[in-house]
Amino acid sequence: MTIIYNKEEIEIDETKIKNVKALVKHLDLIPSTILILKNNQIVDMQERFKAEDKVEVLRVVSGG
Amino acid sequence: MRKCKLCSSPTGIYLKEHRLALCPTCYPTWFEKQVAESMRKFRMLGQDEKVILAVSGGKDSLSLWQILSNLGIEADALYVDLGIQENDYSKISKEKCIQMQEKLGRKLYVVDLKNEAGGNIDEISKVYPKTCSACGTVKRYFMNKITLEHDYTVIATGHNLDDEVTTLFGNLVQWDEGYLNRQYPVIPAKQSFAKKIKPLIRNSERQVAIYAITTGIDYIQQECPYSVSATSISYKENLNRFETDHPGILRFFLHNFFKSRKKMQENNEIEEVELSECSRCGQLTLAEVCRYCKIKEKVSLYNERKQQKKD
Repeated sequence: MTIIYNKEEIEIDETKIKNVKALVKHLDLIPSTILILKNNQIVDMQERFKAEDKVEVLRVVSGG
Repeated sequence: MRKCKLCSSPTGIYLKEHRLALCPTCYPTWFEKQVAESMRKFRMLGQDEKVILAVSGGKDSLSLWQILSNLGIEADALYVDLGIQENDYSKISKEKCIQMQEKLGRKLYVVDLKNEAGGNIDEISKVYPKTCSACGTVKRYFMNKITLEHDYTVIATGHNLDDEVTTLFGNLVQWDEGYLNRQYPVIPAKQSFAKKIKPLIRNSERQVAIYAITTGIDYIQQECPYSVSATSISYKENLNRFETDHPGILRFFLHNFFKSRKKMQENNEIEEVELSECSRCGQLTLAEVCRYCKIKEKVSLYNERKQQKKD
């Protein structure tokens, strides 16, 4: 399954990473600094993935 | 799946810090009410105030522009074109601001840094390694200049809760009493400094991003190339690790700081700093020459040397 992270496509195995929580853990993300979009909808930690889903990790932290 | 607290529709939007689930339809209204409440709580606007908003093309400032408009507050905006070439950063961010300006039908002032200061941020970064700090200086300079020139009474900025907590943490690390004394959601007008307000102060960066997405705001998603390695980003991420383990802790931290600062102000415990006019540009400063004029001078010297090498 392909997900978009930092505008780049990365491959994940959806049989091992079955939901948002597992994805966040796999990518070592800080939950309050990201949003996960599945098929352009914001989803929560329990949301499960299917191979055909379009998943995007959006970083919301900016600064300088 | 969770259900929206207001209409019971299934939703993936959950705010752990409020233990609140909201659907994409109810979320924007809830968020706008939060911002209105912050403005009321801190008495950000008086009657007949003329508001100008500093916009960058990012989610915070563009969301705020739309929120102010939805709340019936007519605000114009200022964009400082920093001339950042990498990934067309400045070009894209300016386009996003123009799109919002057209959508809201308000005025947008565009300041071209290269024309005004003799160099863009790419050039300033060659003489100022602390580029984010120099960038902040030039933005504040033009915010105040345009505000006064066009008779606005208030400058609004899109600083959110994460920004403020990060600044507070940085000021505590440095133990900078001057900055700590000045940090508040409303900074009153003083001499020729216009009043400043931060309406998003009680809302997290994630909450603002959800607002931008649920209302379809087209903002620049890429990070400023200069801020990628900024200390503030590192602070922000690490502070958010606390937030993950203790939801609401950042809000609590900032709230208690403001409470304590308000008390200090009421007891006249905050030392007022006397400012004088910069000998070159006339803007208020602690030194004889303000920081903006010093940056301008350094850029001018850099350009002269570059020209001499070419010749």
